[in-house]
Amino acid sequence: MKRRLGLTDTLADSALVDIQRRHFLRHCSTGLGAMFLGTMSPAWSSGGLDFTRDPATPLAPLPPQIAPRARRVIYVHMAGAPSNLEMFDYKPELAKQDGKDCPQSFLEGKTFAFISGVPKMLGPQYPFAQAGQCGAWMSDRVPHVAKHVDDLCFVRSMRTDQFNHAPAQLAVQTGNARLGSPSIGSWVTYGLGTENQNLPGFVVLKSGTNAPDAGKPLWGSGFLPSVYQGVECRSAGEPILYLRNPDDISRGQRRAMLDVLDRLNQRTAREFGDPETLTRIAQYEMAFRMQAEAAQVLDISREPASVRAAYGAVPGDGSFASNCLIARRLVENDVRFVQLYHWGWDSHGAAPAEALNLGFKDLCRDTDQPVAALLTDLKQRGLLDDTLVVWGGEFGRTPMRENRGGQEMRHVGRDHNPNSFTIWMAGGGVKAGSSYGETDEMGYEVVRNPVEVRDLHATMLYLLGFDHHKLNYRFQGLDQKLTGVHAAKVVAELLA
Amino acid sequence: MAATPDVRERVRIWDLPTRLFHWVLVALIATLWVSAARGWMTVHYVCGAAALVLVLFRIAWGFLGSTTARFSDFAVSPGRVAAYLRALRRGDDSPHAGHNPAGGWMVMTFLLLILAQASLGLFANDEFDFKGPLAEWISGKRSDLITRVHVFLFDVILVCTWVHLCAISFYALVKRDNLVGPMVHGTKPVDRVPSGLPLKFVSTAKAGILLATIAAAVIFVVLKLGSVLE
Amino acid sequence: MTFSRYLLVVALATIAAIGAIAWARPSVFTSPVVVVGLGRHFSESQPGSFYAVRVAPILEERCVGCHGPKLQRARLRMDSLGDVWLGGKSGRVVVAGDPRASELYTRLLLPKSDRRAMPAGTKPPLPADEIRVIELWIASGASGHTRVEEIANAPPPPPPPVTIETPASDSVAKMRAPLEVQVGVLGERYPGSIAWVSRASGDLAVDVKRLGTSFGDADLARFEPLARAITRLDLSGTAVTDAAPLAMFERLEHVRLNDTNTGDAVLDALATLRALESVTLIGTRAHTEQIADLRRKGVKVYDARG
Repeated sequence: MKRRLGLTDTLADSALVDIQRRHFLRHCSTGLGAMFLGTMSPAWSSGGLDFTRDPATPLAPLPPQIAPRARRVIYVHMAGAPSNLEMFDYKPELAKQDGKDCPQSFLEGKTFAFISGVPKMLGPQYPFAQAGQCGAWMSDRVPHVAKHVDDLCFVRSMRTDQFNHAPAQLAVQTGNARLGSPSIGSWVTYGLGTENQNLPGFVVLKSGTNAPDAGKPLWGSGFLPSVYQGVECRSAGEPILYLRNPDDISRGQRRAMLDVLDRLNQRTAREFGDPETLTRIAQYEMAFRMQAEAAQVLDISREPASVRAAYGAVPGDGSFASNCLIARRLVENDVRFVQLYHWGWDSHGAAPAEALNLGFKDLCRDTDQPVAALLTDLKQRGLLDDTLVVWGGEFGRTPMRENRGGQEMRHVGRDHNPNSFTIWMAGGGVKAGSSYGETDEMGYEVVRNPVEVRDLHATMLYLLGFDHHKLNYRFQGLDQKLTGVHAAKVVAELLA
Repeated sequence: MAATPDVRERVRIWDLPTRLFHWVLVALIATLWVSAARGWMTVHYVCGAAALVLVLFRIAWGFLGSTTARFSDFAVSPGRVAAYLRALRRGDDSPHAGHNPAGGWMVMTFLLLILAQASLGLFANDEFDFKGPLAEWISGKRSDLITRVHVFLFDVILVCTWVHLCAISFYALVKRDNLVGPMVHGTKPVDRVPSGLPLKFVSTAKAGILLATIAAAVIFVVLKLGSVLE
Repeated sequence: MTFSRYLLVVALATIAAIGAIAWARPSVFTSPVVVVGLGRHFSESQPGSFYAVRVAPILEERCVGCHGPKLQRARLRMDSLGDVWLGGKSGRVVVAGDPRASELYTRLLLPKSDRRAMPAGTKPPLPADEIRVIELWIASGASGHTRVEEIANAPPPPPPPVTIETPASDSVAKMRAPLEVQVGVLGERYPGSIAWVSRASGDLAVDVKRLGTSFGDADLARFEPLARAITRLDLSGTAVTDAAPLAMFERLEHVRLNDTNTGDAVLDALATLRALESVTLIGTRAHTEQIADLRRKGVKVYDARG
């Protein structure tokens, strides 16, 4: 039975309703500034090192913890999981087993995305030959990268625990298969800032028919301030969306508008103490500076024709080749972390585009030459010494031929294999011409020197000059780190 | 001279349930030993449960069974045991029907040990992939501790068995009193038995019912309680 | 039989029984010793022995969790040589000289589906290198005295874990103290150009690319007070010339001179720098012969001419 409120009760009630959180914050003058600092500094200077910066310049460069071997990273992520058995891992035993039934020991206790029943083994679809002085076996699908084999450091024993694309991509790029963690690029720009304040510190370039399955969270800032997120640049159309002023607004007018917005935002920041306000201001300012410089850097028609031909890049085509050339230009201009994604490697064999003997050829053709050209270019310019290039997918592919629904498929393909996959690294302090880790003779599981994804992250951070335990941000009561809560080690054998 | 047939009159001493209990337990303990050593955990578990049932039955029978099976017949004070042992040493001990005082204590020791052993076994594990039915009730560390006690207690049982065998051979070799035979067929020669004993015997059928009830209770408790935690 | 004769018989029988057990199943007596932790007194290992250097770390990492002070599964401990030799409740695990007869070795080779395979449970099997180390050790006699060098063809040991030692902040501050003033002054004059190489270092990296042609030889000369601390220098796109005072940067390791109006003379200056590791000269007038000279000294020269 509802009680009728008397006058005093109604007045008290409405007084409570009228006072809201913002009023509390506004009138609570004692310690508001301290509260603001309180939200910023513990997060930025928790447990490990101190990353406190002037909030107006959140991307200001900071020195690494120890002398770095790499100052920049280009991460080439082949979304969909490329088949290393057709590119970098020669398994002659598997060739002998081609067409035979898969042994039971490979199937026991394993979960597959699509394989069911007893599939047949699938030998390598392309011939392999030894390359370079180190004699690594490379397939005929990667002739250009093969010329660089003496610069590459292969890790053949990568492992993950995710067998679907989106969580596996998140695991590789953010260290956590669940959403909400910052990507490697975000951690790196948080820890090191960037030298060139007129460009983003973390740039993302995508190519291929689709975006990577996990989408924007792959270059998201997670719980780090959003200024550290990756900025998508496009090599077709507008290089950066929403950057250019509308046609009837001049740069001067934009500047005036930003000045007013800045004063409003500063007032809001003082009143409500939300650190995100200040980093948002910084992002507007960065966008303003980028208007001038970004367009130049992202415009590959400024490159001589010979260079564009070496990559196979055509201005405005949005291809992987163009993205590689842009990556080199970005890195030349001191962008800290460049991420390239190329989609389409999911060679299940369910359609011609996914077939190892059809679509896969196109993918290799589209990516082999540009990546090799990128390595050549970086090397010639002396940038490879302190730029770390990483190439890889999110998991491997099975040595068994995929038999979706237990039937033999029309096209040839392999299912997902989280038990092992191969990546390579170049430059930035890695041991050139080397190979670490081994899988069994079928290329299914790791038999020697397994490397978990967090070990790769620890090694990358070490090359960039950080103890991965010390690159922290306090969030939810934990000194969060890229390598997560499980023990991760720097793989000493990968270091030069 | 005509041979005197050794047809001394024999007196019934032990009832069938008691005799069966003794020998089945011997067989069970042997099986439990071998199965534990060889890692045949299912056999060990089943035999252990059977041993638990048997011991509980024997304890119940010690209150409800025939005269010689009852605790009241042979559970005596330590003073009496000491006096008996002194008499034994002197050689002027009197014959007993049923367990003598020392033997009585041996019986109680064994019953206690095997009861403890079987109970602990419910919570123990084989340090591998086998756990007793109630092992999930307690933490892994406690289970490991109980396992170690369980293993140690078996050594105690072995030592007690050795003592038991020594005692039986003492009676056989020194006192010329064969105790094994009576435990098999239940009768003793009349001159080895004190006279004028009113021995009451409870029927085997009643023992059967008692055994079945106890078995059902144990199986229910173990399986039900054990499965609740699955 | 008299009682005393009987006692004698019992005593003999007991001794015979114990003897039989000791002969058939010695582990009955050894495993309590092991469990209690006295096993380590039964054998010694030298500090430089193959066991101490190669085998013990493997056992420590892979076995001692279940066979050590905290837990003694199967009444076996592997945290000392004596314990390994005493074995567990099933007896010996090591037969000197014969790996195939040693359970310590054979159980490592069993497939995971075999319940006797070690390490038990969900732990991964030992890598091939570690199994080989154990095999070699047992084959050589499984002793604590055989030295590391005496065992041939052992797989290489894993490299030590990478640890990052950072000097205490006050020692870093001390290193930097003499330079702080000049770093401040020059940092104000040429904003954003000077940075410490790392948080633990007293070395400096100077990058004046952003200043473009407003930065010339005279500006570079102003860095003289810091010259001995500067290990990286990026002068790309600036107005420095052949007259740039590069020789004063005695500890310079990496220098970039892309798109500057420099030629061979600057290479002569660079040739005097003994710590120099790399030079980038894209878009300058330097000639190939002078570049080749510098390369012969072991310096990496990048001029984008392939």
